[in-house]
Amino acid sequence: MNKTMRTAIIEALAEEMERDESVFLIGEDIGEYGGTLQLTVGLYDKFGPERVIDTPISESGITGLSIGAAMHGMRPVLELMFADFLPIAADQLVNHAAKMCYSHDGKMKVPMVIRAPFGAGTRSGMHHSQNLESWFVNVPGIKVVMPSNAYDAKGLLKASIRDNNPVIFLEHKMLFGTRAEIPDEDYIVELGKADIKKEGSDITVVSWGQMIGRCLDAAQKLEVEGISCEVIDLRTLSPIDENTIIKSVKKTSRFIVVHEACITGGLGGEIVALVGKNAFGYLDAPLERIGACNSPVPFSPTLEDAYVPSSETIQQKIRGMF
Amino acid sequence: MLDLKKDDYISMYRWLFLIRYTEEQTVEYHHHSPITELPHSSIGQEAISVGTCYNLRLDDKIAPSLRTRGAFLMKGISSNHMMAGAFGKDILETRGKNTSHHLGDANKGIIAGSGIVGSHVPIAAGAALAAKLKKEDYVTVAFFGDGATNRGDMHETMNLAAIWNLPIIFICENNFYAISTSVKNSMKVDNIAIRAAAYGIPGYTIDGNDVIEVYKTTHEAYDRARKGEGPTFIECKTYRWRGHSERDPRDPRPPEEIEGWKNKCPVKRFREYLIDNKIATEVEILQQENSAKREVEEAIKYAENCPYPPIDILTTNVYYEEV
Repeated sequence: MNKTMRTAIIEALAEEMERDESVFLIGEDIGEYGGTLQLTVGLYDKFGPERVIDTPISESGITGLSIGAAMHGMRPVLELMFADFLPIAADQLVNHAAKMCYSHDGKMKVPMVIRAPFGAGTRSGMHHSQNLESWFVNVPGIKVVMPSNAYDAKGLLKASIRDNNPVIFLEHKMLFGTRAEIPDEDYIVELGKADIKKEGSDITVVSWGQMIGRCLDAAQKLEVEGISCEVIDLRTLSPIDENTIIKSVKKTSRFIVVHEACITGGLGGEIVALVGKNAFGYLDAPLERIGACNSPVPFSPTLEDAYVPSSETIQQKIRGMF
Repeated sequence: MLDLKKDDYISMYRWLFLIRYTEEQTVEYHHHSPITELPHSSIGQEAISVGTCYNLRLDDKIAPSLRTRGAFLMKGISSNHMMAGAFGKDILETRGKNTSHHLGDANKGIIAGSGIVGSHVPIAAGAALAAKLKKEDYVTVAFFGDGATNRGDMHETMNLAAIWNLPIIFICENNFYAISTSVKNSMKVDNIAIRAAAYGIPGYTIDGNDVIEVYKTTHEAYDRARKGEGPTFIECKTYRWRGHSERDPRDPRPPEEIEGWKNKCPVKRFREYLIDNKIATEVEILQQENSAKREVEEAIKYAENCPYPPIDILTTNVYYEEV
């Protein structure tokens, strides 16, 4: 059935809670209210207050409590209202969740998911719009996942809940209303596997999240001009599916990475380095990357629209590579 | 300073009415022709901004919460700029980079807030620490809701302010709900101000809809703070008439509870107080109301005509440069 990403997320949560009694939800306003962005609607009625736990505004505390519960037989799925609250939870995630398995040399697991709506485009200002994925990609011991569509969202979320490691699951706010065919039967999308969203022969375009839609739009326009783009959706940002990227670049001989986070210190730099090291001899053009400019996400429409990379920006940059 | 004269009462009433009308018009305008900023209305809570900020000095600092529209106006942001800021237009120090309800203004003592509930309170205490270190006698007023009081940073800050006798006044606008979460489910105490005792500082729970009670309690606290006697925690019990924001998917609050609080309207109450005590006549009050209405209507026109920021400022002033 054709469903929105919002519905796909709610279904993934419900099905995993039905499948495994140790799965529970915790977060601010996720109970009867159904979440500020309505991503847990109906789950409180179905599973009750002990499995859909409303919390006070205590992001650091609830993250720590989730880690402790995960270490003791539970599988918490924590909703942070906005990914901009990740820095509040960061001590617990970076210093503790990420290091438990290593410090126990593999004898302790922290099976928890932190879901966090994120990204620019909603006129919500600099504290409700950031793209902080690269912060956490830089922390060994945490996985980072970001779907670009409803189908992947459901499959990736289910896989994240079943994973035995802390997973930061980033949901772009501009994608909640987008639709895809969702099968009735249970499925997962394996973590660590990128997906070729469009095959092509002239250039490899790697992206994730909201930018996938813009890359596909750019690819369609460029096709008419005779440039065939292969668009790869990374889906899991940590660990990165190196093989899919390298194989594609060896075929196309050109490479660009596109993300919504700002360029400096962005994940694009890491991926460009991977390609440079593993496919240098195959390249017909310098490696390129596109990201937001180096500023906080501004509030005013004129500024925010200029901040987020557009399909036109992507087209222009790719044209310049031929 | 605690002796208010007739002009003060009338002026305080005009502020109450102005804030109410600003909020009503913002909400109204938003639903007809959406303004850029999502309104988080302070309707019902106006007496807290007015009571705390009336007679504050220009060098006193405020750290507004999400729901202290009035504090910005009273600290000197014009209605024109406040409204244009909500439209995302090119105004003041922020120039559309930040929303109007988080804007800061260094010259007016307004510390920029954020969308991260409660994070501004330690920063406000930092302004108070600077006053102490520089031996200046300005006070800092930090506004926050009931929800923010459950953040860990809040407790760290209250303790630090207490041990160092910082000139900060914690104003908790307890409207009983953090978005959908009732204080009944987020804390075990009936009065948040009792937490002050745990830090060894004075704590008061007051009627936040009584502008005079708010004024007197806060200004006594300011006097103590200016004399180096340290912080005060003041819990102002109040209620927001509208949802958390104008995009609230549902309002979990019982309709009779909302109606009950509307009967305790801080604006109407003060109006009746002025008439009943013969402090102002109906005509004098109407004059103030009409002038406040004109101010807001002009502000909307100003905001509509004000330009959006030019794209070339997108990456400017990310870092500080001497000019």
